[in-house]
Amino acid sequence: MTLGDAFAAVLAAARAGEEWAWAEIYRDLAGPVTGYLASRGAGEPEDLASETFLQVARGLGSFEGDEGDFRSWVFVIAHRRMQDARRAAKRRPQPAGGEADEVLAGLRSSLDVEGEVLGGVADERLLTALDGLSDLQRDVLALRVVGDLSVADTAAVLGKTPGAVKVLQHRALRALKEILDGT
Amino acid sequence: MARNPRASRGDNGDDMNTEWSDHEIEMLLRGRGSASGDLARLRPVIEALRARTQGQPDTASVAAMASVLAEAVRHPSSDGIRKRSGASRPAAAWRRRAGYAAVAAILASFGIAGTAAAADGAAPGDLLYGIDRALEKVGIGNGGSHERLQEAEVLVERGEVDDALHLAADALREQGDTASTALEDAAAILESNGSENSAEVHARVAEMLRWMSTADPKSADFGQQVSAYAHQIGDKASDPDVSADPNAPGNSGNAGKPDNPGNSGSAGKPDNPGNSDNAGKPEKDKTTPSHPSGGPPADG
Repeated sequence: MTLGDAFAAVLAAARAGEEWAWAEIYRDLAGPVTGYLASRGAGEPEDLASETFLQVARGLGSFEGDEGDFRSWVFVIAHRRMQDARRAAKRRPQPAGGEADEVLAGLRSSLDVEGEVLGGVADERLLTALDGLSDLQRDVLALRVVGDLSVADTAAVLGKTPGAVKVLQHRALRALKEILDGT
Repeated sequence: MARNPRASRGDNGDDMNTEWSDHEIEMLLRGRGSASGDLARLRPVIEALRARTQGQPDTASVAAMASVLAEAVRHPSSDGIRKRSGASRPAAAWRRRAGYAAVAAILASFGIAGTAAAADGAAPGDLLYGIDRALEKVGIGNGGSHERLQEAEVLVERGEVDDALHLAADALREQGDTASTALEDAAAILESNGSENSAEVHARVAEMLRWMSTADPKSADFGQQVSAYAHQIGDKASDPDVSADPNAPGNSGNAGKPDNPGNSGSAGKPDNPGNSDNAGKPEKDKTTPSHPSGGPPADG
């Protein structure tokens, strides 16, 4: 899941434009990044993930830090890309007429993808439970569980303190418990 | 991390009122150890969430993306994959998802150069379009305004006229033409109409693109003519009486022609009465077609 001791060498090679190094980075992080974007309801997680990695490639010259910092930095970019995409989606006029069907089909498709992953009646309850959380609580759980980030890295992505992230994740779990208790 | 904050407070002063320790929560979220009590009840939910993590991409996809990323490092001035709104629609998204394996197969079979050639013909919304743009931006593949215009024509054929105008505006912007602003304005009007743009608007956009692809972009009045087309398209799109019904009075059989009763011989020209930009042009340019079909508007 991580590059470990090889990270420094991989990073140096990536800075030099070595394809093998980028293959290592992409193989390591593409799944979590795309999964995070998908779990947060991004419309086109694969597109956003691709854009994220391109931005990483272009910005690598200014990056400094260890593997944890790098991972956190990549998710910061992904998170901001997702926010930008949401803002852009809000600015776009609502499609009318026939395009409504296309939108519904897209939503259905998105749910189907999640359904494939989640599968089963019990997982349907998860979807409902997550809907009961706040955006920030969902961000925290997605970054921690899907992105496999630490509390500190999650805090860096969301611009919060580690303590605030702990509060958020605790409240998220409590809310999930209450939702499950109510079902 | 392993402290026991059973009555701890967060940094922001919120009462966490914890029934669980940080360590217990950490183990749950990391998927390690065995949870007990309430946390054990939450574990299936957390594990289902963890299952959303996408698996590792296949070898061909990794190789393809690695090539693009390495190129991006070597050419940091490139501005990345530019998404068009057409490509961002959900239907296009699932088409891409469904076809990622195909892209990977192409990349594996033909390598980056072969894929660039294959992707050159892609239009926004196509499986290969994102790769096409990414490769162009790092200096691989044709790219350029001519390819943008070809892509825009494909979009018009699909009925995605607003995206076609955006793409045409991209093409002009790439060559530094300020008429791109007029096209963006027209595209915004078309976007606001949703799917209500008339066949005549579609035809007029197609006509403009055909003309743009054959006209000399360096000619003195290229930008003016594009602006005239753009304004006319915007006018037609924003006037439902004209644009919604092709059989409307004064609009019969004029699809693809300028909406100017007194200018029936000017098919393929933008309807721009009183356009002072045309002052000084030969009179024939204002009244007779300079091209049999979809020809350049008033392009002497």
